[in-house]
Amino acid sequence: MLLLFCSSCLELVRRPTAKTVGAYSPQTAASDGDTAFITAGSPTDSARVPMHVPATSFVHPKRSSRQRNTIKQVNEYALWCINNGMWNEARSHLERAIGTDSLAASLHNNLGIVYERLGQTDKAAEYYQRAFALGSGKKAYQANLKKLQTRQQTFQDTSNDFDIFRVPPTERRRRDEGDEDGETPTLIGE
Amino acid sequence: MRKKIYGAWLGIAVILLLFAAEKVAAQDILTMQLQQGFGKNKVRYKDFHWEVLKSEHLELHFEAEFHDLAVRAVGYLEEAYDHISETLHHELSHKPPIVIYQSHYEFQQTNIIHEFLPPGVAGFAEPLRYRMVIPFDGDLDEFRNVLVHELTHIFQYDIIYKGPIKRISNPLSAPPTWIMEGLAEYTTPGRNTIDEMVLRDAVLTDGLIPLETMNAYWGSGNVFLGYKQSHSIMEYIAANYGPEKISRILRLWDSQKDTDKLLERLIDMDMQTLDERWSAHMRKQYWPLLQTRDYISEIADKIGDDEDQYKRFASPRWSLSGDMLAVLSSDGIEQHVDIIRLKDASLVERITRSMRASRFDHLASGGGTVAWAPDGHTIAFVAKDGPRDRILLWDLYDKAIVKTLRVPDIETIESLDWAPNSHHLALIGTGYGQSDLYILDVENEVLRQLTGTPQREDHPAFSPDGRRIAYSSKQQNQFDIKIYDLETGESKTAISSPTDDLWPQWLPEGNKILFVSTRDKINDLFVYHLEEQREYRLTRTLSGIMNPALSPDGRQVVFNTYFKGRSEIYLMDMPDWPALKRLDKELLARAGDNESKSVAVGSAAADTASAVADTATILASASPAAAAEHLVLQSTVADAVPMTDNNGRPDLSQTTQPQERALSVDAVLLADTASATIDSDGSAEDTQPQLPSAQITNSIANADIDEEAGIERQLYTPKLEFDGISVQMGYFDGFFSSIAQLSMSDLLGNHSLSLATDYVASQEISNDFNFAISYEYYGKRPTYRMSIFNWNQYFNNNRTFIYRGTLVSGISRVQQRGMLADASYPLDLYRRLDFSYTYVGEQEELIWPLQEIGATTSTHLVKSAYVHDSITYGLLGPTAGKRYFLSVGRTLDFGGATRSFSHLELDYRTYIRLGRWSVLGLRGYGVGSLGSDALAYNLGGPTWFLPFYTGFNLNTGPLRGYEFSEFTGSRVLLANAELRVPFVRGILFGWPSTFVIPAIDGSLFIDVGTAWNEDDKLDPWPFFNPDADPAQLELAAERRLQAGLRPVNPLRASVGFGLLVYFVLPMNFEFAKQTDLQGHYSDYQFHFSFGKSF
Repeated sequence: MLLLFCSSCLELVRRPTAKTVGAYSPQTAASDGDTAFITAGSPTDSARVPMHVPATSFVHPKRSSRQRNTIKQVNEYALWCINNGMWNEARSHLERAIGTDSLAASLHNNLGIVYERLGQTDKAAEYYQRAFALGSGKKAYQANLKKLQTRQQTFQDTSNDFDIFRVPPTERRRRDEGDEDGETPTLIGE
Repeated sequence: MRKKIYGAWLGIAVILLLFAAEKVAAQDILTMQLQQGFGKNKVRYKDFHWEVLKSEHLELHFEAEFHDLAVRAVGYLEEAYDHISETLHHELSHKPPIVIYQSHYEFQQTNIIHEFLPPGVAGFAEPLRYRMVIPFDGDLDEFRNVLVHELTHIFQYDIIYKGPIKRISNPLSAPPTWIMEGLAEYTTPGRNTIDEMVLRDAVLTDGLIPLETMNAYWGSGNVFLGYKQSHSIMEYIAANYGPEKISRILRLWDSQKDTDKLLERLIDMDMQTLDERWSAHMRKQYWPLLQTRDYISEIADKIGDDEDQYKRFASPRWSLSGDMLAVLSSDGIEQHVDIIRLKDASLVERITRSMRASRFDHLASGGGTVAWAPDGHTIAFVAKDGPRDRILLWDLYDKAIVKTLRVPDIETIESLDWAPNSHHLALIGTGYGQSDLYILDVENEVLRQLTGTPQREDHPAFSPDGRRIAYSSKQQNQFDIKIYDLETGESKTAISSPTDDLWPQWLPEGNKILFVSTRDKINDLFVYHLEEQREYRLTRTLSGIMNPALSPDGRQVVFNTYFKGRSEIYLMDMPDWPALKRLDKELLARAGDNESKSVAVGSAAADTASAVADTATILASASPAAAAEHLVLQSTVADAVPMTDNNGRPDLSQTTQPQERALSVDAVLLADTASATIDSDGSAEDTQPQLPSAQITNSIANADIDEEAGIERQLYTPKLEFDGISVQMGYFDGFFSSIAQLSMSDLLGNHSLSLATDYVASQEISNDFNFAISYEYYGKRPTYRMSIFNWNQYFNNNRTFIYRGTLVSGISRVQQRGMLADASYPLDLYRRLDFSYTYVGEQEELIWPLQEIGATTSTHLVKSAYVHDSITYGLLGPTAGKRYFLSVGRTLDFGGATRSFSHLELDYRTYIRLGRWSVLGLRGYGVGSLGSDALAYNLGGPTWFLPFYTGFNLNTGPLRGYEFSEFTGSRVLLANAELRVPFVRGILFGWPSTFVIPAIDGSLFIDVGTAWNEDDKLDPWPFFNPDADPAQLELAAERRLQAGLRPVNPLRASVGFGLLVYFVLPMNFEFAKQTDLQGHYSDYQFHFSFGKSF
């Protein structure tokens, strides 16, 4: 499976693989030139994140070209980091960028992808949801979320069937901390 | 780590002078002027205004703007003079002139040596006129050490040569380098912890350089270790056989030039025995450390497992996430700023790729010259551009330099650290003779000076809240850690101990500082709790720790260490707070256990420890924290190795008795601890200039005090003085030549006057008086040269005569009279513009066997050239970079016998690295002499047929596989490709004496070129077929001639291989075949030549 890069939208894009049950396939999204107004809190403060805000309730603020460029650069750099296998570096920069501009849907979407790769699916779901809420009309964000949920569901079902292979809690913690050997969804080379 | 290279420059200077003399004397003037040279430039950025301080034993040259530093230097030198004089039992016969520069970059502009001085050169002394040239590099103690070291060399020259040698060609007989440098180090204030670390590592890893081969390897191996090892051997001799033996070494050399026999007369043992005993002594000193100390590999992980011994990483700085590091990297050839992965040190991004020469001259060599901003995407690094350092900001998102910060008035910049807001940089700047702590506003480029002491500040680190800066500050010859409050402008001592406390790093919580301390003369990590006012030991290592950098989350630390002769980066997990406390106790206990076991600790050490315990008891009543501090100190003394210095900086008067001095000095230092500790509990201190020691107090301040101290101050007036004489004799092609050169210059080397005379004779003739007088000026940019000359060239001409019944060939003379004027304007280190005007009047005549006046011509040649040269050099030629020139000339036509031609020449060479040492060199060359009096160029054979080819200089090449100068024409085209592959590095021979052949390379090459004349037809394809019948070719040429057609000149090609051997000079043994690249080849032709092919 190939990871594609779309220079216009500057997001992490994958070819759809709908036939594969449980396959991971985050979708593309448009740029953040106009996003919704939302009183989003800190990206690490999930309690303040509106989970299902209707897109019609947003007011889209104007960004300067410099601000748009910054978002573009961060997304570009995150992609470069992922291509070089440095997921933590990508996460750090996306988080930092969100700290500066918390309304950029693409940043949230991409951070969701990074968290999903790092095995932190709960956080990934949060960021997908937030991206969907911010990026009104972006089906791609919702698609990413749905695929994640499908995958989680599939994993849970499989785990129940084969309880003997259930991952012990210590191992799960290790994976949650981003161990690359963990059986987490990957973007590259699948 | 800064290398000190002192003596090698003398040899280089002598060789260059020899070449220069030969160049003036033996070659045709006009064609010599047409030759265009490469080379980097010594740019005179500054107009220096010199003054002189004259004291009892020396004359010090300096600039008025750093008068205070000059007065300090005089104090150091006079003190050193007494010490060295007492040690060597000698008084100098002449007052040595000493020149100091306020920074290394101004030192690089000195004209006393015309060659480029790389960053590693800390100073030099020369025996011709006893000049010493020293830069101030930001640390007064280092400055003093270099002054003392070089002054010792002047004493050595005076003892060996009995005065300035005043000759520039006779072989100089000097003791082996290890004796010269060992003595100079011996008289210099003792080893610091870095020196000690290098020596300790060599002992513990079996890496000591055998004494027998040390001299042969000097310069090609671990030079720094050579210095330290030589120093230690001198100390060993002094300690075991008496200090008076040191003073006898050089005197014995006068009558005994064999080192083995010299040592037998000195200490009754040969070199090998001395080496064995000294090595045993060192092992006994250091091996007990293995009981209580850890190898770094036991407590940390090496970053990368690259076995490449030439790869070095320095100044590691963390990325935002901790996945990567920005480092200053070196592979032995080039230096770069790289981003590497933390997990395997693999290269992620080469930040400075292709930037050298286009963006900067070279990267700065100081510590901490790379810093990764907390914003995660800005990396700052320091590079020299023009006269001073610049800070370049590279953006990770743009993958480009986004800003260059120019900091006026600061020459060198080190120790960068970003503020948490990524808008300010803390830095250490050196200029005007001192180094201080500054903050630079990156947006507005506004510089704020925070300290103003003459002593060294270093390693600034912003606190997590950005309100304070912790930094190392030198007081009383030792570093403490201070904290500067940016709001109040006050600086307080935070961490103070009797040893150096360095490289502070704030833990994220903001109330603890990680730092390095040299408690047992070994750099180890400690954490200081600011609220508890207590420190905790984190490591007890064998090799020592330098330049630590905490990860952004404070959970890991990377640092440099030194192991098996090389600097490496390690990664260590930072323990959490409870674990850190436990670790501190464990390390303390381990040292305590060792107290009863260690064989290295003598009674004096026990006394010292007891003294510390007493001190701690006294302090305990006043401050529990202070007592705790002393408990750590007590343990460190308990396992301390007996040392030969006093905190790395002994008084000069104590260096003659290193063994006794060691422990007693420690005791004195520890007795001082009370004041140091009390000082550390927070009393505010100003940052006004403070004197480094009481000994020089009287020497500082203004001119009045200078007079009281017996120092006379005056302006420097250039005065030409006699440098030396060079006499050379040679024989070539039946002619005997004897050339004498007199050279004069002023003390600073700005003005140079030389006179060369020549006597040429053969069996048939004796010549007239030849002379050339040259004046050169280097004091400003551009530099100038003017010469007048009357010079004769002699040739066996092509005419045959019957003389006294036998056939003889005639001898012609070309008499050349005239003048030349050159100017060179260096644009920067790598680029320059050259201009020249040459007038030559030539009279050709047959002088034997009969006299006959020939043609008279005159030439007025104006030439200019643009030169670029940014290559890096290895032993056998360029290793990377490119060089090219475009030279354009035209003669001025004054009618009559005036020669008329134009000159156009282009030479482009680029060198592509293939792997570490292999190089692919590519070259394109073309020259044309156009006009009615066009010159004829020769092509064929290797570049240099003989090392000193006399006569006309119109040989081009190489076009191997063909006879030397086989082709002639007014135009030449040439292309070369040569792959050079390393075969051997450093072969040591033990007979007839110990010597090293540093390198042998193999080469594969292809040459294509031809020479032709105006109106000849150039036939580019097919190439000349070496299998073609010569008779057929001759016939074809005759037919063309008969048909009135000009000859056809096909391109000639050759392929071949060779061995390049470096021994004294580069020597080439090459085998080449002519080819048309279509399957036709000639037999191999062998060429031997000196020099580098291109």
